[in-house]
Amino acid sequence: MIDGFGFQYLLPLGKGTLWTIALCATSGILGSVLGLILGLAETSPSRVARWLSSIYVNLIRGVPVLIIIFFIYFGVPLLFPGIDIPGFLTGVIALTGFVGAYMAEILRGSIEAVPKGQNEAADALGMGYFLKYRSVIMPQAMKIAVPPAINFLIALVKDSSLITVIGFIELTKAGSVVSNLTSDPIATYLAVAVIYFVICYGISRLGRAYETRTGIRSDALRVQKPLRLAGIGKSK
Amino acid sequence: MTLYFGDLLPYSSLLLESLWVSLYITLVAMLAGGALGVLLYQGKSKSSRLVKTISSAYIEVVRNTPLLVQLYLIYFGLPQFGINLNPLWAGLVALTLNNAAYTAEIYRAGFESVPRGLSEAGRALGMPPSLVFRHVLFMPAIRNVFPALTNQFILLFLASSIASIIGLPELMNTILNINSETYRAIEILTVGGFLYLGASALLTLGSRIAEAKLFRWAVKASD
Amino acid sequence: MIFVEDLHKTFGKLEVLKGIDCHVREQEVVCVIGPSGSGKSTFLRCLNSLETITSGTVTVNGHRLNESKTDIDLVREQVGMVFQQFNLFPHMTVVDNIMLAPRKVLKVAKDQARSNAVALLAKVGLTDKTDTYPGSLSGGQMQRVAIARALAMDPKVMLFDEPTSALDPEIVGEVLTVMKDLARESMTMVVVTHEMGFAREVADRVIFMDQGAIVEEGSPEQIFGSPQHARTQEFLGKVL
Repeated sequence: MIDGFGFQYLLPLGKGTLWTIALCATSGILGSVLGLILGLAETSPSRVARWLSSIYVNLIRGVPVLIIIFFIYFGVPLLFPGIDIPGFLTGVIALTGFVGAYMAEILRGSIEAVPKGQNEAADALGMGYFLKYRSVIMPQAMKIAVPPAINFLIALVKDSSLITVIGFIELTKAGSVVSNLTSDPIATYLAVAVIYFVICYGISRLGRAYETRTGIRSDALRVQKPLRLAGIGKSK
Repeated sequence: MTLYFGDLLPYSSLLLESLWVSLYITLVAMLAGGALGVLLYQGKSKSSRLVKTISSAYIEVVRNTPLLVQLYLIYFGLPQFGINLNPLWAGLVALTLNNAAYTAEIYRAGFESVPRGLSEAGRALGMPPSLVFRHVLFMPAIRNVFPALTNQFILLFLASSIASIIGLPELMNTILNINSETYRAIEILTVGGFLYLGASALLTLGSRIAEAKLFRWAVKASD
Repeated sequence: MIFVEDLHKTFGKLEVLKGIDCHVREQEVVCVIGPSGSGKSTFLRCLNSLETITSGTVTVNGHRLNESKTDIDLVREQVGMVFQQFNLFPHMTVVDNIMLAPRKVLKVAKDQARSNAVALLAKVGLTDKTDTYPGSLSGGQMQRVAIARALAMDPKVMLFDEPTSALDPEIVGEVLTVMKDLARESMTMVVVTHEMGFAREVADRVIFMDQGAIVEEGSPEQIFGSPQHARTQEFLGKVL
């Protein structure tokens, strides 16, 4: 061990952390919008919409995240030759696509968890599809969706570590670099782990606070529909 | 640009072999992790204060840190203590330790869903807690969370791709190698993706059949 | 057989049993009646330690229940219990339900345990259900299996916690018949029940509980025929 792990290495790790947060925040927001669209498509009366969205969702959810990441990383330069996209953008695109599919499932489950009576009452009052969803279904579905979405956010932070494979310096890649410099992988990766832990555990406390305030359990969806939604929040 | 899948044909058997490797490490990690998960669950719920804290801490730490970092710690970190694991062992250990934390929580949900009356009936017959756990509570608990467990298996299968990063020759690794040899990125990623997808679909089908067979006694209305 | 002295049981701040004294002799059938919330189920569950004792003593077949050196599993081998909710093990066939404890606790050999179980099933009239799962049984059948399961341990005393309360009225009879046979065979029984007809016919002694205490006890003729306390009379007036 020539150099040891010293406090000066917290700076590059800190930079990596900021990039990880930026990556997750951006893809989290964009992906949630995508998930909203897909989720509505999955529960829409239009058979084509349901079909297309469910193909996308099942495709993304059935393959490892690495496939998605590499698909964007290798695929985009092939599809748009000459264009050089920065690592951050590659990461955002890949993670957005990933988040979109999982959020779609969360939203679909949440919409289906809204009591059927609400739908029937809205129909009986003569509400059209858009009005019904805007005023009755979605507000309730969104509240139900929050705990599993928060759980999934934790999964997103953890999966963002896989962006390391494209060489973009998020936290895990920063850790690799520092680990090589210091020849002290244990100390380095423990520090990295602590940072991830603080972020993820913090998010889960937020989620628990939401649960106590609103009484909506994060496993409410799982209990109702174990087969479809057990994957939420458990992604590695 | 044109897509040409033909370049991939020579690699078909290699791909299938690597798929098998992925499935194999998933199975081992599921079984070992499942067993360790039982210990963790028991540690978390029915032991001394110290053991409870250690088990809970283990579960929380594993569930709130990325699998990749855990893998790095085992593959790159352990050699600092003189423990050198090859990619296969490092991958198996990391996947097992990771899986255990998740299955422990699944078991907890399962056991909490078993009506208390069953364990009371077992104890009333003179059975000590260990016998009650093994013979009375276990099967009903597993039945309640079987979908979650099989889903966990599939997640583990997809997560096994992470071992490619440390060079284990499983499916993802092979996909990347083929890409570097043929430069047919989109084709190989598509084929690889469908291999993962197909295998997952088969696993889901298998689990439905297993569920029907194992839990023939399960009544839909009320147990 | 069973000696209860000044039994108190508190749940948190609520005192559910306020000093119960009771003596159950061998081969005696004791029925415990009373309004809901009177603590009769709690009292029964203290007799095999399913509820822990807050203060007082309970001695079952010579074993003191409160003491740390008492092997509670050993005591429970000698005390059979039948629950209101049957609590059959859903993942085992009827005969496996009955055989489980004798095989694993008493270490009875498999063949022996099976033939004993089959004999017990004949006794409760369910030979044709030997290898079926509880999921396909009716409530009355399940309860009869539960009784057979408890009997398989060859207990010295049987505790019944409202055994027929969860059953449809038409089926109550088949379970009571089994219990009457047991009484006739001189089994020591403590039965918490709402079936006054059963108590009148079979009990050697009836205990009326209300609000955590024994208000009155005596022979069935005394309690049902000429109840002394106002609360007893009030209760019986409502249920009879």
